[in-house]
Amino acid sequence: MTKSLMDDPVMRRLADADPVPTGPLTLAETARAQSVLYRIMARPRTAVRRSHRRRLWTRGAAAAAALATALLAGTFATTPASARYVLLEAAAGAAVQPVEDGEYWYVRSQEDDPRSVPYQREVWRSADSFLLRSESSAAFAAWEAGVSFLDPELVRVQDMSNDDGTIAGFGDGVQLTWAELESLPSDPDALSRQLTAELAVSGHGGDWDLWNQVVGMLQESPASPELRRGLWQVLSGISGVELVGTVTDSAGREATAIQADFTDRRLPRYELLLDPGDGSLLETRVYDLDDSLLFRSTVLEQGYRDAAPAPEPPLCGPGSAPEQSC
Amino acid sequence: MTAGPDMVFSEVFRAMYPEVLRFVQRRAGPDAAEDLAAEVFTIAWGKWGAVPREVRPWLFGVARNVLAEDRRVQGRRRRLELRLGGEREPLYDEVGLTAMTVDLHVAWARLSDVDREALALVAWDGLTGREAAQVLGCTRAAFSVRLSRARRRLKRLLSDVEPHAATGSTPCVAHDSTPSTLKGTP
Repeated sequence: MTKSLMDDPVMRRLADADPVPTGPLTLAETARAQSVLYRIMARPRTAVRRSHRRRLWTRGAAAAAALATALLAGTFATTPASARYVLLEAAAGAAVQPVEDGEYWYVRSQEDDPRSVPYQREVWRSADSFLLRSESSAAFAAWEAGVSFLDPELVRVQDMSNDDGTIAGFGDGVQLTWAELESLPSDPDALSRQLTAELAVSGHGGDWDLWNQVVGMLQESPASPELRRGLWQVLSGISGVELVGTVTDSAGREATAIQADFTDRRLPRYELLLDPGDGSLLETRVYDLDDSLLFRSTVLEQGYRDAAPAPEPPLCGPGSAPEQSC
Repeated sequence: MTAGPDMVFSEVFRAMYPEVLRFVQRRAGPDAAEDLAAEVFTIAWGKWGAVPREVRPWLFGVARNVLAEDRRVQGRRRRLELRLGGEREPLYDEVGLTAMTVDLHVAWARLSDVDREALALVAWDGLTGREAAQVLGCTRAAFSVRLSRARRRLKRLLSDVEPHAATGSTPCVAHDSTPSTLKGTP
């Protein structure tokens, strides 16, 4: 048990009431466990089934063809919308965006967390550097103090390089370097296969793993227009994604919302607010099982920049953990 | 990072089976617990090459999914039995509740399944915040919010409960008819 979490009389009292305290197995349980182990290891290891996802891809391809036909016929506006159509429209919109270039990939976002006042976050990333200016420490401190004012002394530009000079990659699962990102296939089937093959199995289901990886890449990576098309197409192949409708994001922009609800597995429900016209992901919302908002991230600005600010000394002195107050 | 060839399945099984079994026993009846724990490791064996190196929260996450599936199956079966035989839906038994005082027992019964799950992962299963977040598929910050809410609600309920308001024979049922995620608890 972790000391910090258990450093509370209510938690300690609950721990004392553990209905099945963890202890060594009884002799009978040990014998049965040994038998279970032999039975399991006597079986051949089964490969992860992929047939279901491939069927979804077939459907995804059919939907893409239908979308293209509808657009050509000028009938899209009268076609009943679905999450799949919205995602494929976003894919088409992303693909025709201009290819940009620059020294740093820059993203500015606003974060809403129930334990803090809203705060902004800026990142500048190049192939070998990662700079972060986050107001999170100031925002958490303000929330604790019950004020909305952010102390500028708690906001620093931080060099997020690791001690060995490496930097965190892109994506939530597979950490992709800049070069790896550029070498990813844009074909959705190949892209899905490659990401799935490299993702560690979380135990929450392959669709959940893939969803998080793709959303992470859409949110903050410098994926090319072609790759963004592939990423939206991959999302359109994930089963159970639903259209929410037209909404306004936290920055006041009109957006189309889709959702992926994993609450039947006791996982969160996710909403993506996007602009299908240009394939930009505007806002991500994560809801708890009781439908309360766990987290909201709104992309306010992103694109290439030729310069980045100089890193400042860490908030808590040399060697301190980034993004944490002292 | 995945389990890799240097993590020997049989060693992980021997080290983790007791914890997984107790995890399942806290949430399922004693008759089914060993079968369900075996299913968890069967799944792990099938995916061994892709299992994360941090195997404990992964195994607990698989166990949670296995338990959820078992509850769905049991729920369907129970509903069918009720339709066919007109039998009364069984109440939760009181296995393992002897350590709970009456006020804690009543307060626990009034918590939602979501709150109980967050509290149990830490207080009973001994997970860190990061591990519990992995089990639940949320961020560490999100789990922290969930746990602090649950802890606050339990504390408030405990202060609301008058010790004489409930007797030791309080039936172990949830405040609604929804089966708890933590069988063996009220």
